[in-house]
Amino acid sequence: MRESEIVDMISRKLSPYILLFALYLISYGHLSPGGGFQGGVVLASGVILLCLARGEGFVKRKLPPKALSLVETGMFFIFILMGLAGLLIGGYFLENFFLPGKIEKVPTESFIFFLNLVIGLKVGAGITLICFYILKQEET
Amino acid sequence: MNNLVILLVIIPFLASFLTLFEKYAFGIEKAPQTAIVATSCCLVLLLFLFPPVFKGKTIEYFLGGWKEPVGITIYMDGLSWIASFIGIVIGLVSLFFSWGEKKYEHKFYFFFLILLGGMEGAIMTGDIFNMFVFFEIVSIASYILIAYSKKTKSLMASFNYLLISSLGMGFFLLGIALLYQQTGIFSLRGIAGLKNQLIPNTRILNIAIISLVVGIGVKAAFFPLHTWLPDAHAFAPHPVSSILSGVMIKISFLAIWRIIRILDTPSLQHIFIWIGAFTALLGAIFAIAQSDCKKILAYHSISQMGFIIAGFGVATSFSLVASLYHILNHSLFKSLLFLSVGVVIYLTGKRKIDELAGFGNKIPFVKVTFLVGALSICGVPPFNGYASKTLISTSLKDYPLAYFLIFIASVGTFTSFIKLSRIFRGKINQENTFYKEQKNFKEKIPKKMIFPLFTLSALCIITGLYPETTTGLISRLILNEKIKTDLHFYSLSNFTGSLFSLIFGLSFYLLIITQKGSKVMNFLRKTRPTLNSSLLLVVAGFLLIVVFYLLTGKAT
Amino acid sequence: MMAFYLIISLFLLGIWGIVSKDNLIKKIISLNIFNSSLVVLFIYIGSRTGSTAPIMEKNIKNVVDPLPQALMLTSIVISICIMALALSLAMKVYKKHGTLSISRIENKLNKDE
Repeated sequence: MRESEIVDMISRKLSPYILLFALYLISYGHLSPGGGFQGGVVLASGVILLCLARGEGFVKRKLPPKALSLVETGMFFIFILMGLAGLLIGGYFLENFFLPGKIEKVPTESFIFFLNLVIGLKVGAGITLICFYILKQEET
Repeated sequence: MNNLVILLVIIPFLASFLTLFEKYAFGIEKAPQTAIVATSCCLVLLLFLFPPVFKGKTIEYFLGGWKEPVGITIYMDGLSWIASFIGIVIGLVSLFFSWGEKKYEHKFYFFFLILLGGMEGAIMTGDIFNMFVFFEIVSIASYILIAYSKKTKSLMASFNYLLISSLGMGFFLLGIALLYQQTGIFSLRGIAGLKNQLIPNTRILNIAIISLVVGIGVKAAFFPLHTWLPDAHAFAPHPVSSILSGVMIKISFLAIWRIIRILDTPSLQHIFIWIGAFTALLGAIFAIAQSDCKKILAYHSISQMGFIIAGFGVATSFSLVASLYHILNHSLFKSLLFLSVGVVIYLTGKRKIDELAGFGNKIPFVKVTFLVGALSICGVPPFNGYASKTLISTSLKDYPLAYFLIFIASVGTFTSFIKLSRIFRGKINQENTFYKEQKNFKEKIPKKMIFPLFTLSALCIITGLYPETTTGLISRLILNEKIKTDLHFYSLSNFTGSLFSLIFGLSFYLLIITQKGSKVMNFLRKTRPTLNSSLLLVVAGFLLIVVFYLLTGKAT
Repeated sequence: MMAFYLIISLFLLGIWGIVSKDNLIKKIISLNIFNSSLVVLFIYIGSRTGSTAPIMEKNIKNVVDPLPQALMLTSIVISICIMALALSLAMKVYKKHGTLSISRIENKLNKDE
């Protein structure tokens, strides 16, 4: 399913900037509008733009669905582990254990930054997989 | 000790991750075993948590370390304990049944464990928006599980349920928005504490509570909001039917219980008597008319929920204990009935009563367990349904119209179970070909299916033989005191009430199998609500309850 | 006041769409409109207290309430998941029967009973 030349070229030039913008949204989530979910959706839309322009076989060779599945389930597991780490240190589930009383030398915002990163990757991988399945259904 | 409370929610989610991960990373195909081990760990944790909860202490757990009113608090009090206990026991039993059926992939166990974990979280949380999120987790897992077999009827049942439930959850969000505008905080105990300052605006508070109740009421299936239940529970796979009908509608109702009891609005509680009585009657009447055996059981779920809701509406402590006792009993015997009928459908592949007539004589063990379940739901003395139905009827003594409607619902229950038990008695219909092919059905029941049926029947009989102990336990857990009134379970008046239901039920059944009776039944069976009319019923139900409250309610 | 009229009209439009349209995809789109009206309601409630966005730089005094905005993110995520599921169910039904009209599908299913 290959589109015309203009659409093809512009989407190939534009798509890396969309991915960069997604990374910006994910990492500045605790200071400005954005965060995990928004960055993840923009990440998925960057990949889907390439899918619509070049056909999904091309994108599937670069980003195989099995690796995306592994990223998605792995990120879910890492999120629960980060929550349980608060339990191990002696506090509560999902507590910010980088506060000055517990662990020094690490800035307090890094907890929410890690959570945003994990959620952003998971949502991006998840929505990309949803669109892969829907596009595969349409061809058959 | 406090951390055990949060582990009850985390362990099902971690185990659900493991069921997918161990297939893709290690190639191990032991998904049912992982699920059963995780659920057993939750049961052990729950038994550890029993002594402090029994002494009356509410365990509070602050999620993330943030205290009230900013953070989310998880409460483990007596009500959450009973609800978690019902959820984990029935979940464990259904997992054994699905292991025996051997045709579910690892994805099924993934969603099943998410359903269990979501239900644990929904009943233990003390924050309204967190309750919304957990109910949506439960909803999404149940949409996928109902549509698992990918036949058109299951897909359309799941789609109908999706639209109706999403509309209901929209009303729930509307209720949250109204409450937040008035108070500015989301936790239930905080709103209850601020309620004294809200006296001028108490009408908006009550309309907000009605929106919340309609939102969760779609999942708890009372009168205008029940239309999704027969299709969804009848066309789902058998272990999914038993856990949806046995646990999910109860936990939704217990969330309504928690909201109304903490926010303390007696005028709203009395509306439930009429809703409950009418739901019980409606469920029983439509149940008699069906010819698919799982649909009869699904309509009976609606009818028994009507009993429970009517018991909750009478706001005395006696009726609250009766209502919770009936919740416990109904989970046990409804799961037992769904799993017994599930064994019959698994062996033969057919679902209609006319085709299955007389088959049950070949499998005597399932016949006995079905008999235990049927006698429990009808309210015959040594089983547990008798005790709880007696208590509910006694607590409705001051409302004669509701008592009369519930009595007719009991009569209808007897009639439809005499009709359903045609599967297990009588002569075999010789025209069915599958009887000629396979002779020995008794050996084909997998051993893993026998264990859940046996456990559930044993629990039904135990809770029926010791009703005083069970009600004493329940009242200690939710009210922190023993009930002072005398509960004469085996007195003569209650016994004759049950006997009258039996006599009327039998005569009604003889009336139905005549020609005119079956014409009326066919007409009732063909009037099924379409999707558009079900959705309109939800909206109309919400408006009706609001208008009813504005016309009759006092400003409390 | 205009915001309230917008919210009420979107709410009623969403409900009307879900209840009375015949096509499955139109019902799903109306569900999306219904959920969007609730998101706007929450953000409108949170906007009373101040005037600027809740980004804590220096010299910012009046900020709007950030709590409903964060909760509406969760709500938008949930509605996306439900719509994805509903669309895939509708697609499966369309593959089997070739029609997306709810009345025709119900006629076909009720003929079997």
